[in-house]
Amino acid sequence: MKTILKFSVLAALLPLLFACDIIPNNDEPDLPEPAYTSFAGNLSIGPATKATTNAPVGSVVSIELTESGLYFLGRIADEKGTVSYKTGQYTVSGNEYRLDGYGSVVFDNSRGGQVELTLKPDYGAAQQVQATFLKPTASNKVYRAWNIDKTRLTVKGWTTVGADFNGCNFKEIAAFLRANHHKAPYDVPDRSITSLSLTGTEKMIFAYNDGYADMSEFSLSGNVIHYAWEQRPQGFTFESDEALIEYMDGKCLLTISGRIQNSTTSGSVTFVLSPLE
Amino acid sequence: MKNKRLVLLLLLALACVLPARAQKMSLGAGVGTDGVSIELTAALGGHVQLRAGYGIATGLVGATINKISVPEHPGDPSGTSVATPLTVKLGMNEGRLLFDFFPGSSDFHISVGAHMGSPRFARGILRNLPSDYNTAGLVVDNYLVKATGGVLEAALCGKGFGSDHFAIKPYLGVGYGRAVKKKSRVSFSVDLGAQYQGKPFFQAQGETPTGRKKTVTLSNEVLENLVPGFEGYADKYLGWLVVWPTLSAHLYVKLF
Repeated sequence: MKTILKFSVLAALLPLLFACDIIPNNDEPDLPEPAYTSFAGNLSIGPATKATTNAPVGSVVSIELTESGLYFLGRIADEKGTVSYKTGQYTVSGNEYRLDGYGSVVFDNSRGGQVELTLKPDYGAAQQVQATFLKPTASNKVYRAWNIDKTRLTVKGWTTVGADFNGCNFKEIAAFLRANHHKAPYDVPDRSITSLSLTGTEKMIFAYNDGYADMSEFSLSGNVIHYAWEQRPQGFTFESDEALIEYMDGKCLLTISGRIQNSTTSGSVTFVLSPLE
Repeated sequence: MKNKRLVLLLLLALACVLPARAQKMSLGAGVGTDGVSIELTAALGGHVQLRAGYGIATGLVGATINKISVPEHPGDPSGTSVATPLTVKLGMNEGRLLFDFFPGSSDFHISVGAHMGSPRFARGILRNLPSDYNTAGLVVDNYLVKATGGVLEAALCGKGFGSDHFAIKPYLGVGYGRAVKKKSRVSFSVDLGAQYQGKPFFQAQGETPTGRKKTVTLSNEVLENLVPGFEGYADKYLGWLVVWPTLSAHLYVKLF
């Protein structure tokens, strides 16, 4: 009977045990090295001193080969020299890189520096050009392609409110903001971010579902990314050219903070990232 | 957390020490304003009985208010409104340890002890919320409090002398009846008392960007920003709930 009484007291303790807090898991996930790390790098086409100067419209000026097997091929898009990026996956056989949707490129990838690069587009004549191959010198878990699982918008004003979106579709987010009395442009394209690549050559690249991409350079200092992104007037300005990297529950969180123009309201965008491969 | 560990330690010590003094024991079931409960009781001499048990009222005794409506888009209060029924229910879920003191030979007793466990004592559930409420909500300590599948639940809580996540609500009351009776196999007891639960506050489940869920406290400041004048209402109406009146009846069967 003593046992029964012990059990009764222990039963009374059950709710206490259920009320225990879950221990947060903020450790960095144990991620394997991306499959294409040894083949990754940046090809800057043309003489090293003037990579994109005076290049004709349509010409290839750079190729970013990422650690996760994605390529970003930059072409001159207009007379102003604007570069537009097209993306896809690549595979490697010796010195030949097969770029899905473009063709192939051949160069000596054993070392960085000046290389002879042969461009072999699927449609068009092959071309041999001078290029500079920049190989990553540092490694970091964050240098890989990431899938955007979720986007969290947070607005700090009279109170702090937030909204979660699966993935990151610009049109969906803009429509939500407009419906809730926030300024958002109407001409937002129906575009989703399919991946965010952070490369060892310090490029931050957003790839979209229509096959195009936007690229910026960055530098990594601890868990802070300092990026160089072209500012466009969109009703808000970025507080600083920084993004914070955190790890939580096996995911990577990339948070960019901003401030609404002429207002005390500030906000942030957090991308919840999981490795693409 | 320190409170919880201390209480756990004390109760474990009691669990080990008290059985040696137990002369008679009975098992009981009860119902009251603190929910339905089961209790194991032990007579510790002729004047003291110990009651240890567990009570739950989650989902019991509720009412639905159909006159509530919310804006279709939370950021556009002047826009279209959508009716969202609000269901209010009891929500206790707690352990209890009570001592009954019998000053005389009658069944009149004074009860002293505490209810411990979840601070939640009432639940409010809004249903049929528009889809925007599944997307957006309040951010508290990086946890986003929002609806799931059109349902948003908040709890009214009291922590007593405990913490926001573990309540220790002292109880004081009087009653008639003995849980353990010498000459009767079945006994009945009625108790009337009060639990001190402190100033009530609201809690709801929030979610980190990674999907980890946690119950977070919605401070008066947060709610005041959301519902102007909230603090005035809270002082006026929630003040009544600092003490929770507890009326309960139990039926016991003697084990030995």
